[in-house]
Amino acid sequence: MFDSIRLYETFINRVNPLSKILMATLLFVTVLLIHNPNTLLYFLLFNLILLIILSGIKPQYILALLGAIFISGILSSTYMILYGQGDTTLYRLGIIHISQESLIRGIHVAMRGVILSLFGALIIFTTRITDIFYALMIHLKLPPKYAYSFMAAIRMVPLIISEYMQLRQAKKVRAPLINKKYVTGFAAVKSTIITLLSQSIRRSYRLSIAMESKGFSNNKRSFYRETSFSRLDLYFFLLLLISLLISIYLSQHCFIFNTNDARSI
Amino acid sequence: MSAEDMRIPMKVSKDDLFIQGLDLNFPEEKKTFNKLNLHIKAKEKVLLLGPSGSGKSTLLNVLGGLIPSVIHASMQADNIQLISNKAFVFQDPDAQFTMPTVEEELAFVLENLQLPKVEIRDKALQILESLNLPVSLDTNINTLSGGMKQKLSIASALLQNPSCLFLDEPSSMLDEAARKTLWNTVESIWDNLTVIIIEHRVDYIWDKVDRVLLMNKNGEIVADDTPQNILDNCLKQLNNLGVWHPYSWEQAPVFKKIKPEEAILTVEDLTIRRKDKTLFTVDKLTVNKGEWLTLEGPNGSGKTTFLNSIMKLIPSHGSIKFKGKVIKKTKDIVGQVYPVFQNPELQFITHKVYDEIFINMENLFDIQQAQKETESLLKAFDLSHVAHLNPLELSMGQKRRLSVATALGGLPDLLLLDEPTFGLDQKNTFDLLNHFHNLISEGTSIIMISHDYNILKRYPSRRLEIRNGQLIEKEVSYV
Repeated sequence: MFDSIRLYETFINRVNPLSKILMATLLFVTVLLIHNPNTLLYFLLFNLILLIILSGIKPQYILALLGAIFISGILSSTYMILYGQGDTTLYRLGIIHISQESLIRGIHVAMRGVILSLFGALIIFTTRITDIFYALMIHLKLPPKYAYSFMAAIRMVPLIISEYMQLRQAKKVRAPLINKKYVTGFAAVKSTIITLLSQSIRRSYRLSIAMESKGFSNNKRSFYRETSFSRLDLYFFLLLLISLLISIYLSQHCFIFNTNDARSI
Repeated sequence: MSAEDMRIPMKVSKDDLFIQGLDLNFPEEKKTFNKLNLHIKAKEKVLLLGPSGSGKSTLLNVLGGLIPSVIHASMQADNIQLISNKAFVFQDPDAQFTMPTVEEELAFVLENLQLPKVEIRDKALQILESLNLPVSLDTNINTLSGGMKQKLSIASALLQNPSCLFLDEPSSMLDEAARKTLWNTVESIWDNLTVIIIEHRVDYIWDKVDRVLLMNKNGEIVADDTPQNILDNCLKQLNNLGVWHPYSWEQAPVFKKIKPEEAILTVEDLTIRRKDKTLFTVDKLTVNKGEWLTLEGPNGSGKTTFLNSIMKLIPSHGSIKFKGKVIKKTKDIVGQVYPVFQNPELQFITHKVYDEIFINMENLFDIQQAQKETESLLKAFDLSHVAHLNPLELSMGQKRRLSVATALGGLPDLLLLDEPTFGLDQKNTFDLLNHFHNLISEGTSIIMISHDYNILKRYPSRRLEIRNGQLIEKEVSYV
């Protein structure tokens, strides 16, 4: 899916999609259990480096994504920062009360989100959607009818987007000729949705007939792409584990935040 | 089952398709077939012709075994013999593929046949080569042209090793050149196959098929003969049903040429770009009142983009003047210049055919007058009987007419039409051409994208073409 913005492939591209999903789950739990903001910060830096080096995506796209991730990280922490509890007041205005404690806790929460986003981005950039479904069918015995329906549905997304753009253009040229009430508010949303839905339903009906006419059924089939577990999966896991261990080590020796537990400052 | 087989007549060989006494209807619709009989011999090439709604697709789906197993309908036959190894190619290139890349799509078919993994790649490469489809295996299907997508469909069909091939309007969404290539491809592979074809534009295949079946609106086969005999004996019937045939254009409407008047649109030094690349340039183009211009050019050369840039729907560099006024934004010319897009479905705003016209009128007239105007426009475009339907329920011809009619609240000075006759049958095409001529006689000018040679050499007063990155004017020569 990201072939057009990829510069090079790395071994992560060949890691089994299921391992990636499993690691993402483990990472989620791990990050929740880390309460030392110093550890999280180092771990975040490691994940950032992994994403930049191992995704193989063109730098401008990485930068754009990082921007989005960090902004959403900051936004997600504002509530905690502005309204959190704490004794060491840094700033106060009306009900807004920024304390040192709330600031650190806010940043801590934001870092969790950012780490998961960075790792998620690495996985998404390096995994083909078809490989995920092949892996699910082969290893987890997902029935082909679900796997292939999803893959077919994903193909339709760009078509729906281009239809939406055309609808907008059509509205632009018709709108000045007619009463505004037809092209604004609920009426506009309704007509857009009905048109796009009916186009998609018609297309998927035709596609389902085409699929069955090509001999597709939920029965036995061979698999062209084999997804197996390999040493690469282990390497990837070790890479992640080592960066976590180094982060923990560093957090014991070089502090950046003046605490080792965000819960009890 | 064996008892039924016994009743199949001796003359029917086991590779033939045979249907006797077929009754079929879809829920909540009138009966599609009533006691239909048909016998198609092995390796015969058969063309199914008929107006829309005649049940040709339904018949094809019965013969191909999709009805009743995949598409549900209540069906009964005294006798039926079908062929199990068959393959289909359908009309819509965007609704035939399951997977994102060429390789995965071809593999999908072979996986269905449970072919071992190691054989799949070679098979896929082989079929691409034999069909002369020069794409690499990892090509994304979305980046292929319509013609290449349909060739890929044929490739998928052939991978199923069929003895019978069903083609349901495979070229109706392709331009002239791609259509020709497609039919040449089909002809190159069909020797040992039984082939059943539904097709609107029959120019390339009429002489190649063995047999033509003509169906009427009631789902009856009204003629069944060789192509030559059908032309000799049933010409009147063909015209009445409004289907294309090799002599169609002899009945095409002939219009008096209209003398152009003052200039309304001037385009100067226009550069159209797509993603940092210059697509083409226009040195100078003037459109006069009462002119009918056509615009040609290969796929992807930027014809639609040009119409959109006149409308200022996309950015461009250069000057566009309409009636002496420089146009900067869409809303400067909207209403006076009106584009009709290629997909009529995407031009509709309301949920009723009647409202689609009425909302244009209600701003211009008081309510009674608006209703009267709406009704007369619906009548002029032969849409009165479907005025209560949702626009999306209409047939293709009706949708096209309605999308043109949405331009006509007032009378636009310039109509921009993007392949308006694409995929229409003879009757609907000629009807639309008549409408266009009427509009021009009332003072509208038209710029129309078209690939149809028969239209290009009959109707335009001037012909434009995008060639080698430039918009040029072509010599007009009429037949």
